[in-house]
Amino acid sequence: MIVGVGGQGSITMGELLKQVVMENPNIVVTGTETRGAAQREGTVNSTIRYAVNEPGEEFDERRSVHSVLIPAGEADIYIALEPVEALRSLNAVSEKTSIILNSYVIRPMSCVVDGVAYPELENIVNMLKDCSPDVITINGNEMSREAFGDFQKMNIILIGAALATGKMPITYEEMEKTIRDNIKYDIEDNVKALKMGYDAYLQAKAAD
Amino acid sequence: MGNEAMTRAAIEAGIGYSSTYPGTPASEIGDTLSALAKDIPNFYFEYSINEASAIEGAAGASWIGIRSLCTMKHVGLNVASDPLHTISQSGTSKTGGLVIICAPDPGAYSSQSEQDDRWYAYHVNMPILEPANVPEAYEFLLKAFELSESYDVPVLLYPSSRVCHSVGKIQLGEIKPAPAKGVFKPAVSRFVNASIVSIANKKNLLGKIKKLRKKTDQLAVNRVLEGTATTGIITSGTAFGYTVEALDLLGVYDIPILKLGLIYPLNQEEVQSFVKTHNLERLIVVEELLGFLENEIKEVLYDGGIQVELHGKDTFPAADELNVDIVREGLAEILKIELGESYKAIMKKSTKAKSMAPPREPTFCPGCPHRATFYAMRKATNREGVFGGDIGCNTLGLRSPFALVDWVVCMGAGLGIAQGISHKSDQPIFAFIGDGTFFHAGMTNTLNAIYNNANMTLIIMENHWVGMTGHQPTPSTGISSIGDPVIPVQIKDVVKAFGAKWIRTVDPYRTRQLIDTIKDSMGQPGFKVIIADEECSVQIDRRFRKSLREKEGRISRTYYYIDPERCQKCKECLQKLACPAILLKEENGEEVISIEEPRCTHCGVCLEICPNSGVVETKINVHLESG
Repeated sequence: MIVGVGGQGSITMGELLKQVVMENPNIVVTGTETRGAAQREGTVNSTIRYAVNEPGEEFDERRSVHSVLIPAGEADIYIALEPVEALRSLNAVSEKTSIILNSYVIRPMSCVVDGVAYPELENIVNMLKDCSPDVITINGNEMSREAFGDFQKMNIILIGAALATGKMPITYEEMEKTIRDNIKYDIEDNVKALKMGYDAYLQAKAAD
Repeated sequence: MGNEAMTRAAIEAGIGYSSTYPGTPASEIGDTLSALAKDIPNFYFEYSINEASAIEGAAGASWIGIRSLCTMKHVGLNVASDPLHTISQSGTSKTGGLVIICAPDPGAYSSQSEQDDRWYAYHVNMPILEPANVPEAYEFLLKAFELSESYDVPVLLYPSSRVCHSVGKIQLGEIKPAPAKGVFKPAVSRFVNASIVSIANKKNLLGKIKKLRKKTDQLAVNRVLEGTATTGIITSGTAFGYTVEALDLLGVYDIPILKLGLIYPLNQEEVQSFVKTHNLERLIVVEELLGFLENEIKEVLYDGGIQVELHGKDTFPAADELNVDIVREGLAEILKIELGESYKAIMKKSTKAKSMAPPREPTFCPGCPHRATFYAMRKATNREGVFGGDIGCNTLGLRSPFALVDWVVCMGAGLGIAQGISHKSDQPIFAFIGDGTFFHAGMTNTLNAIYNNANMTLIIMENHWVGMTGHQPTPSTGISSIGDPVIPVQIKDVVKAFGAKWIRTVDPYRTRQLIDTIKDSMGQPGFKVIIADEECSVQIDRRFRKSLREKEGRISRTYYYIDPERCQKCKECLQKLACPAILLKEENGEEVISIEEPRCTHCGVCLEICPNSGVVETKINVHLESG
């Protein structure tokens, strides 16, 4: 599950993570993205649900994935593109969930204009850890700015991090190929961003 | 995407005509057809100016034997409903099925209401197919054309937003080309719905639905998941998936489920025999929104003299979107199953976390001309007056710090209601409308207000695109429905032709000038029009980035930054303009206001409004050689 702020790229991420298994006959994929009005700087999310069927295994409709929305606690990976957005959809998270927090803050208008306090990052992380012990924080925006001069590769950096959890039913090579086939420009930078995110996750995990 | 799957099915079905007014969650169907229009044989596509135009055009093509597809969001059906009530009486044609895709938005994520269009079935007498997922959306669209042609009725396909915006795999079929042309054959007894003909057509239509009611099994869109329990479930659409997963999570696998694909009309025998053959003592109806199926099912059971314990909207909410957890809790309550400690703990923790998060309402994008217009309005009026809001991006003017939207009702009602108030109030009256909405429903209201001499100011926020819904063209964009250049309609000329005397066009990026213009308008009698004309900043930014990437063209761009020496920290740009690209940071214990360059779209409004010359501009010319 991906949560974030409209304009951050949650739709693009969701689409890539669905596209990557389209050719795989053993994986059924479903999921959805917030579109329309909520997109404009509001709270958005994308869901991606893979149902892996081993070849020869009989399909059991009663025990399969149908809903595009994730039932309580069922997310394997929870990517939050913005810290307070991480707090909003934790009903998808349980102890089995790997949480990846992008620590770049986008203060909502309620904070900027109306003076509502933005919670301390430390408190947010503690809250996340209360839901699942497996929390890794990286700043994909700053990594992207430093390496490429813009924020556009933050999404790919976080996809790289998600791959590094080892929980996705896809290989690094498959993801890289999907990026090459589907992203229209800055391809090499995006491929580099994937690796950056992958390494950053492993590094943060080792330091944890 | 579901919308793309339905588009593919429509192309395979050999549609020769398609029309739409864009609206989330259905908009990508029209967008895909627009992009592909030139590659589809014998195909005509249009972005209509509203849903009534769209359905009328599609009916015309259907009547001359061309398969037609008309797509819209749920509330669009209200606009289309006037012609549709009578079109359904006249029917379609043997080779020209008419299929309407009307996509509901449970949870009203992108709409003014979550209206339940299924009830139109009773008014219009129109069969409704409801797919549960992407493969069904594809399959049902093909079946909808067959149904429309074999029963001579328009058919509604009703994919929820979660189907439109979901993904899935489909098996592609062959594309059947549409015939190049059709010929209209007059038939008074079919098409001229006046008096006697109208009654005869209505009787005929009721007869078709009655016939279909008995033969729904031939469509093969309803099915049963077998089970031995004496409790059964009837469900449809996305609610089916939520139900199956909820039962899985509750560890219940023996409940028989009747999954309906055709949700109107119901086959009495099918429902009655589901209850009888499974010896059901209890029946649960799980559906999104109101209790439409529940109502139909109660009728069917009453007619069959069947008495069972029935649950539906007594347990499941009739407002807001369903999900697996809501259905799980509802089913647990009826079936008397414990939800489990871990589930309760997750819900408790997540509710607590949610309460920690400051609210985040959608707002205008960085550089949005609407932000500048609302800022100017706030400055010019000091929020004294009445402010009619409308549908589209400009609805977001309701948010802090502008708070300049006093109501949102439907397309065009900002102006319609404002002009009513203007005749009976001495307050300054304003109404906002975007250019898409102006063409859709605003022109008639503008003429009405001018003809009746309403004393008010209409602000037409012309950003030249249907912004919220995904940047489809409007008649003032200069691009046709299929992407060719056309002469854009000048809104100024339209309102002038309607008789408006006081018309001003201002670029909202010249914010101080706009403030003065609004103030001017307040001293004038009668109906005033201010056209705040500036293109959507998202589109400008996209073109800029494209030029950079393709290294073509000559680009000149002005960059802005805030000079910490000159900035007085008055926070006008941060809190009154509230541009999301302007940030407040703390550096060495001091507050610093700065522009976040990657988010800035270079509109320059911060420079325009800075009272202390704290914002500085630098013009940079980028010359890109082609190749």
